[in-house]
Amino acid sequence: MRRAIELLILASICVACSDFFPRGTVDVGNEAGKTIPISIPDKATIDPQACDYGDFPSDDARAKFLWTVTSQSLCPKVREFRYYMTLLRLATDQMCVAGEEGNAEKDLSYLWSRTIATYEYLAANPVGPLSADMRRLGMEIYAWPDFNRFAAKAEVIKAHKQGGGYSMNLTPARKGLASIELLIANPDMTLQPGPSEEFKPAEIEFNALSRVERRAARCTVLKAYLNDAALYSEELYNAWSANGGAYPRQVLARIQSGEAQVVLNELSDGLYYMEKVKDYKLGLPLGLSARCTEAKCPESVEHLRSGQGITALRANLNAFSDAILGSAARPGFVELLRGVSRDDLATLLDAKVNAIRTTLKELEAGPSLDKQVLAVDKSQCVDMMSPAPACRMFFQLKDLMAFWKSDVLAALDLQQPKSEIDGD
Amino acid sequence: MLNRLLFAPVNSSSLAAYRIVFGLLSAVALIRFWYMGWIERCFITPQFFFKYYGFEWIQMWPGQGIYIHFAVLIAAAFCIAFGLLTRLMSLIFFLGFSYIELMDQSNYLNHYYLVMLLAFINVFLPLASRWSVDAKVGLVHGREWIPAWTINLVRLQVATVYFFAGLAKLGSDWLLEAQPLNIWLTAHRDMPIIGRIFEFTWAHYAMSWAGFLFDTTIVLWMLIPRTRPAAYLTIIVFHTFTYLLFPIGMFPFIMVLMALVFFPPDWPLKLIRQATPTVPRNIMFAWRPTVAMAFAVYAFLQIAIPFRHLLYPGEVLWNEEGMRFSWKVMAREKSGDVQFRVQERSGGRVWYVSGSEYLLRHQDLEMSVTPDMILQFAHFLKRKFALEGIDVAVFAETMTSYNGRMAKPLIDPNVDLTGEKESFWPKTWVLPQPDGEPHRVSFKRSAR
Repeated sequence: MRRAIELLILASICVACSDFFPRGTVDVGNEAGKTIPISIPDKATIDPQACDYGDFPSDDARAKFLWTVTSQSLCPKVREFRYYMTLLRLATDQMCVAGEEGNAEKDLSYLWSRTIATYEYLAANPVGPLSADMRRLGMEIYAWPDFNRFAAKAEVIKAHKQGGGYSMNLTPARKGLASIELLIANPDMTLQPGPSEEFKPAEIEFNALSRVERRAARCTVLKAYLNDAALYSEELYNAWSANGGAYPRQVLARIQSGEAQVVLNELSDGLYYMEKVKDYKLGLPLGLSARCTEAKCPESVEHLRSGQGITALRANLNAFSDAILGSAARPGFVELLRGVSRDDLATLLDAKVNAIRTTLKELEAGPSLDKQVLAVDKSQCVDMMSPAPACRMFFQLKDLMAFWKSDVLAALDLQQPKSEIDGD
Repeated sequence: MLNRLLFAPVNSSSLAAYRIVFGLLSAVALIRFWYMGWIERCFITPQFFFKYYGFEWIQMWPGQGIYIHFAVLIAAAFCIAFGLLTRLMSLIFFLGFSYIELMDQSNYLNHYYLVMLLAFINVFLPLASRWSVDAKVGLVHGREWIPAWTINLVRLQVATVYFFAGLAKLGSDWLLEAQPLNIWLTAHRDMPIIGRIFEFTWAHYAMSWAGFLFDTTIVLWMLIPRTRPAAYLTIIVFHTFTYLLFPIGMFPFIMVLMALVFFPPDWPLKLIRQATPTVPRNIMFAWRPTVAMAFAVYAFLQIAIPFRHLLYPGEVLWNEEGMRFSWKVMAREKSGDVQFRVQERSGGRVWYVSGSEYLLRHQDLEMSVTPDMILQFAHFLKRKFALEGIDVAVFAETMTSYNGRMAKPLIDPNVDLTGEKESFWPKTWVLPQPDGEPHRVSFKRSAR
């Protein structure tokens, strides 16, 4: 009887797991246009029900904006992020089995860029579950820029030493997408020295291992990192999904109970991520931030190892401009400004965001962000007329955020994020 | 008249009720502060504190000492409420509360300042003369009658808040443009039941004028026996309304309960249906010149300090010179941004620094529209770079929106702030307020 119960429990666990990881096959095109056959779990494919929240008829642009931006813009991105996280795990599994045969590494790189593009979109508009609890979920998934860039190195050495007994138990700053990137972008898994520029004995020992052994350690840690990040992507998805926490429905309930302004303020708070984009993603590498005391700090470019710095910028800007400009079917902040007779501000805001988008196109036409940063002539990096697009974007963002924090916030009676402390 | 105002015998029950209310409110406010995690956020996490001019010497407790500080304050507040070692606890509370108030300018709130002032005068009041442990165990003499200056001092303090809050609204933006209520109320148009009326401009005007008249005259109505009940009801309605509309924490509770001091001194006895004794003929308080002088000096300061902004050129609500400690409560809408351009003096390198890189959000927010805080942060940056061996000039690039006008620079961007010093003199590097009428928002229902 007891054996039967154990078997039943085991079978239940298998069924539960198989529900999450049933094997199917879809074709995912990579950047080179080649087709990669990847087995993916059914549940991880884009579930059409997950963001099926329907319409919310309202003649108030603010209510309509909040409803559509959460249910039609952000929710699908959360779903997409979970999808790419799953593909990334599967591609890692395949790469670990296939070794260096085929396109496994290329697939991994491609899926990495897609994962980054979707996550960076969410990072730039972190409302609800991503902003709750001191941004816990976001930190667990991607603690940039507060992450330890040497933690992954220590983990692979540990994984090699512990072999099958390896287990990961790390704080957010030592894991997540930032560490995953370091492994994905290092197929040889050769270790580089730390800030002292001297190898430690353990690093020399690890580098002396065979390529197969080093890659095996990389696989072990990469899988552990990905499993951990996937847990949080699943939690995020559950918080947004119509079958789970249904965050958009919570937004709807709050709109209907007269809290639209509070929700709008939360959305506005999330958009302050563009300050981080300005200061850390552009200002720091360009040497315009006080954290860089050299002429420039191109090594601080986000996603330097995988060369996805511009991908991240584009995703951040897309999230921002989607919220600001809206679309034909969906109002944005400019519509709200027009709704309170501030067409003048709406036109200015529209123009400022579009100017940044134009600069982004120039940036995308060039080489990787770190190379563009290196090529910048600092003497001309002084204002929005700077010839280098990276510089220009920095000053355009500076101008946009000043405009946002002063004129736009005042017109819409939004408060700057202030840690919920009282005022009078 | 003056003798009667200061030394007429009055029933001590009102002062005792005030003591209990003050102690309990303070304890609740401090516990709430702790519970919300604000001790950590306001006193432990910051790597920089904005000091008050003249109080730069105040330093934060090492380690987790601030938690002990709060625990002591909470205990002192309860002791005040129960009337246990009342005068000593009042002194401890005043010093302890002033310490946390003076630690960081970005934590300044008008109602914290009010608590600090009340805590100060509590030290001199015979708070324990009734319904106290002190009187019960004989540490102080229980007294049915106390001199009128005691309760009138508290009344004066509460009255200044209302009166100067009203005076701060005496301007064309508030009264003729209905700003900033036009902006604030339009945003609250989805408030249940009454939200719809906030869509209309007439409602913004009506509430601007109502707010102004309420603040400037409510004390008068509270002092007239016939209008007092209606006036107190108005106070409750008014503060409930502001509580629902604005994130002002404990302020409405404090004001509603503190306004009880305007009732006759025996109101608690009437409330608990105890017989109210008449003043015996043999009770007389002698004229004491020192008390009268101290009262006069305190009253003068309470009136002079809020008026000090008249000594400075320009609009106080814009340049903030004379803004704090003046009861300019919810009088303007000001939001903005500041970026610091840090320029190496010898090499010519330039950095742009956002406050958010070193400050917490509430600190950055306060600083972005407050010139003296911008100056302090510029000096902080100079010291920060000096540690790296770099001598720098610091310029503030600001954009500030004031009551819905298009944003303008608040600080002259060409002035090296490291060459400026904090003082009571007018700040010449603060630019004049923007001209012209403010934009008025008007809500349009969208058919989209």
